[in-house]
Amino acid sequence: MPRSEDEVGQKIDRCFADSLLKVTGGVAIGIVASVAFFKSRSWPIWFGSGVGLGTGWSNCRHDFASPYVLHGKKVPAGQDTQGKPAFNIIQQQEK
Amino acid sequence: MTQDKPIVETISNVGDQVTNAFGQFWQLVTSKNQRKSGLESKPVKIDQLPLYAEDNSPIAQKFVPEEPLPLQREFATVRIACQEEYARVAERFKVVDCAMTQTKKAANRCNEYLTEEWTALPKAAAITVGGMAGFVLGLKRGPVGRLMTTTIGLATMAAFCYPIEAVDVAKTGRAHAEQTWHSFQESPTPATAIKTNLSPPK
Repeated sequence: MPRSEDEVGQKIDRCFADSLLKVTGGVAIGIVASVAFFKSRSWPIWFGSGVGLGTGWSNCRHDFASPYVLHGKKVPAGQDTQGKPAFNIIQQQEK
Repeated sequence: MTQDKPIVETISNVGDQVTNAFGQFWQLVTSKNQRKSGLESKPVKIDQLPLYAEDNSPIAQKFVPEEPLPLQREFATVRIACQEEYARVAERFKVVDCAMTQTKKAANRCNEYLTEEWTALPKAAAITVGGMAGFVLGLKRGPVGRLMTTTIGLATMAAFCYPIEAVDVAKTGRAHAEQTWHSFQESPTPATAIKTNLSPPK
């Protein structure tokens, strides 16, 4: 059974990773928008990073506010997350 | 004074009411007959009712946890390393641990207060805006006038935001002023001056 400290730690890790992903995405979109539409001004990059940071923060808040939330999927037994059957087809070797 | 309705209108109203009552009665009688006939034609037992059909067994499902996000494991490594280092430092220097605990407690209490008393932040914002308005209004005056208008702005908005406390402060101030005024009016009688004899002894 995992310790509560470890569970909180996992949530913190997830928060940081998720926020980093979102900030990176926001900055990337900001750079593209800045170059493509705004004559290479810098504010779209700041705006994108701010949106990413805010999204990450909001996700973290929700994650910490509901302690029993599970990240995953419910799938029918015998299938994987993509809906494919969970068994492998092995070719029978000819003797 | 209210006028009585003309007798012709009253009679026509009564006629309408009677017709409505007859219509309702007839409708009730006929609908009962219909329902009775429908029930008698198809009697069904309670356990045969098509409620809560459990013919379809629920599909067996399983929970597949999500894969960790990119860099989540690296963050975990860094976090665990930091925790271990902090534990070493906290063991060596108790002051650091104590300060961290106190800071955490204070931050938690502050957060709880701001969450429960959700009006605190809007009030603070309103008071700040009042002070800024006072400052802007006093820009043309000198430094003293600016300070005065800023103070008046802050005090006015604070009085609006915290009316009960403002009344308390005003009452206390008035009581202090009255006391001061009374003590000023009834100035204390000076103590009898002791004459010191500075002449040399005879």
